[in-house]
Amino acid sequence: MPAVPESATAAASAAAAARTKAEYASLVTAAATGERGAMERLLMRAQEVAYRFSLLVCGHPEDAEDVMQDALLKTYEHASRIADPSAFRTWLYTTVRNACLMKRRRHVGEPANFDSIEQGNDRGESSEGPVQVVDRSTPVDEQMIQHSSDERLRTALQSLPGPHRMIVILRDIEELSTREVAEITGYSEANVKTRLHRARLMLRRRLEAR
Amino acid sequence: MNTSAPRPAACQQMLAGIAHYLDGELDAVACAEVERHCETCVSCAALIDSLRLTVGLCRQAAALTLPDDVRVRARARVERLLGTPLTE
Repeated sequence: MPAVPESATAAASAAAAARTKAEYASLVTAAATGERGAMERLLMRAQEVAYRFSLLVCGHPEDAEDVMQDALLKTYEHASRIADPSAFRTWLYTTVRNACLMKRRRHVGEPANFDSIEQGNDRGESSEGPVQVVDRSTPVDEQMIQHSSDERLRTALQSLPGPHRMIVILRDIEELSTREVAEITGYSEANVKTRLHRARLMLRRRLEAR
Repeated sequence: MNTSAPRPAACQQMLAGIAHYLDGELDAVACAEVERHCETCVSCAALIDSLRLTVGLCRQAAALTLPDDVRVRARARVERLLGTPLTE
C-alpha cells in the first residue's frame, strides 16, 4: 500500500485542479478588462488545450491545428463578454470537444477499429490514431524515454471506446472534476464515474499488454 | 475485511470501491479497510498499484506542450488576431 495515503494523493490532485481552474478564471478576468499580456497567455493556453485534446481524442495533427484556430477565435470572442470566469475552463473544453466532433463528422472512411465517440453518448462525437507531442523543456535523452511512454499511452488510448477515451482524457489527463466532465460530455456524474473506472481498467490492460 | 487469505467475495466487495479509493472519495475508515485487505491480498494490491501507475502516466501526459513548429504558428495566429507582436 502507498507510503502516502491515497486520500492525501487525491486531495493534492484536487487542490492542483482547483488551482488551475482559479488560474483560468483570473486570466479570463484580466483579459476581459483589457490586459494585453493576460489575453495573450489565455489565447496561447486555449490553443495548447485544443491541440493536446484534439490529438489525444481524434488523432489527426492537421485537424488539431484547425481545432486550435477555432478555439483561438472563440476564446477571443468569449473572453470579452464572459459572465462567469470560473466557468471558462468547462466552456473551453466543451468548445474544443464540439470542434473535434465537427471535424470528425467531416471525415469519411473512418478505420473500422475506431469506436465512435458518439457511441453511448447523449450528444455525440468522434475518435482516431496516434500522434506526437514533444515536451520542449525536457533534455533529448529524457525526451526519448518520455516519447516512448507517451507513445504507449496514446496508442493505448486510441484503442479505448470513444466515450471511455474522452472521459479518461478529461478526468485523468486534463484533471477536470467529475462534475465538469459530466457537464462537458452530457453524461450524469454517476455515469462518468462508472465509465472512468472501466476506462482505467481497459487502459491498464492495454498498457500491460505492450 | 478479513486479515488472512482474502476470499473472492471479499475481493469483489473491495474492488467495487477501488475507483472511489483512487479518487480519494472514501472516508478514512473505508480507506483503511482497503489498505488492510491489500496487505494480505496480493492480487488486489497489484491491481491498485497498476491502476495508480496508469493514472500517473495519464497525469504526466498533461505536461506535454506544443511542438516548436506548431507553437510558432500558434503565436503567429495570436499576433494576427491582436494586430501586434506578442509581448511575451
